[in-house]
Amino acid sequence: MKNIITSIALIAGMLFFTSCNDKPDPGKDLDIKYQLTVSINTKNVVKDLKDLDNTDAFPGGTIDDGSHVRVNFFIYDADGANVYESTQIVDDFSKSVEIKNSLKPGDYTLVVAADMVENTGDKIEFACWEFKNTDDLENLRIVDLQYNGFKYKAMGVSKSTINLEKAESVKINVEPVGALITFYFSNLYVSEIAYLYYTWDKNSDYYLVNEEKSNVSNTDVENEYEIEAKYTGFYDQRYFLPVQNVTLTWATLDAKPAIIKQGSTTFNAQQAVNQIITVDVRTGNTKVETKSAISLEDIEKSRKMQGKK
Amino acid sequence: MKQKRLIMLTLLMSAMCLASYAQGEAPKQLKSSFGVKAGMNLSTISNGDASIHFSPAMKADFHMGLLANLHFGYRDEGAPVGTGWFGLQPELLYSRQGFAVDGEAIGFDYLTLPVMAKLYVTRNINIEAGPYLSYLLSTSPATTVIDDAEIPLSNLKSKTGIGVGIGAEYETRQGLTVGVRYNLGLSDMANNLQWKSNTLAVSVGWLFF
Repeated sequence: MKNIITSIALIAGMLFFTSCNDKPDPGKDLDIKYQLTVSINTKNVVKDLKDLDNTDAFPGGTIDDGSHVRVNFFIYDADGANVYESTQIVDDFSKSVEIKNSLKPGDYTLVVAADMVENTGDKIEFACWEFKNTDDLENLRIVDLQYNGFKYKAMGVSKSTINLEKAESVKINVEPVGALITFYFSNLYVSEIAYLYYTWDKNSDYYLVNEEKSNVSNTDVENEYEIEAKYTGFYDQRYFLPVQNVTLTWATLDAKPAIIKQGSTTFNAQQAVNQIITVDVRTGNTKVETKSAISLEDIEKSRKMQGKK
Repeated sequence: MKQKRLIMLTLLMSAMCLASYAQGEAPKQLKSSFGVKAGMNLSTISNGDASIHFSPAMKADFHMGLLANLHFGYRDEGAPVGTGWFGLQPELLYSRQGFAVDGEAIGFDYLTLPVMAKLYVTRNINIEAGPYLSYLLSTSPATTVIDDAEIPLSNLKSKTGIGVGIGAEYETRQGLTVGVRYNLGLSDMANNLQWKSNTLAVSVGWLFF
């Protein structure tokens, strides 16, 4: 009996020794996921936007027309494939958004887009922008639905990369991707003016997120507006994605209608550069100002005029 | 490299024991016993993982199993066989280990096979050292979150590892054994999880002669 026990013990010992090699078995890689906590601040999207009375268009990030802020968040892996996406709707731009998700170690691209929507709960009733090809970073685009959203069309995008090797917390400030252009037609009090006509020749179709640029169409632009010029001044505000060499063409017409005065001016819409294009319809002078508010003199005038939202 | 040295040292000690066994007439030079043992584990891990920061605490659990005790030679002329300086003790143990973190107990249930070389400093007291092979039977919980890292512990099941143990044991002539051993894990839990299991084990056992 003892010999048997001894033999078993020795065999076990020998088996053990022969199983030992120089390098311990490290085992296979575990699919460990690390939590990524993303704090999103969207305030900058509307921070510099001004109304005509030189006040903040969205004071403190608040929205005055009942719209809410939609925050779309996407995570793409190193191959550009979508690994996570979420949409949160918050009251306004003053509310920060926190998103947590666990990911395998690796390189990721984080995309955040913030815009204003009308909604009932989670259901979007109206939006100026639509997200397309969200499965693929290379083709992810934010399509301009060509609504006149005015200042409520403001939209911001952030694209950043992260190498995730452990749990991380990152802060993302979403910056405006376009700019608010104010068209201001002054001196409309000339008695024979019955109509104001204006148009511009370029519109953006969509914003290509990965390339961080907007795609601009030069054709089929239908931005002709005939305005009953019964006011002393008229303004219009439009949110443009970046676009170069946009030509604004305008004309005043009498009741026949025959052209009284006409002119054009060229401007560039640049990211986060809000501009006011003032057209004196009496003299034909135009000026393009890269400032966030019109002058006090103009504010005085604006009290006597009406615009359109 | 350090790990290799430890194993080589243990192998050398084991070889010395076996050599002393082989030199004489086997039946007269060896006292072999079969035994059982059980006891308490105080275990934790050493965390060499830079991506997961936390301070593991001790976890108390138990171990139990079978052993074979081979005690070689005799100490003095005329002394009975099994009173010599050297011994070898292979064991097969079910050992519950793990650690605690933030009040949560993380359990690793192992089957371990230690082979301990023994140096009897007296007839009753020996110091022991030797390598062990471990086989992970199960984990609890299946997945845990530590330092915001989601770790699928259950995927570690069936993982093998090695380590070394060092300890001391008291054996009575009747067969009662009382021992204490520190087991130092040498294998990482996984390539990307550099945890090594360490256990302080206190055991009582009985040798059947």
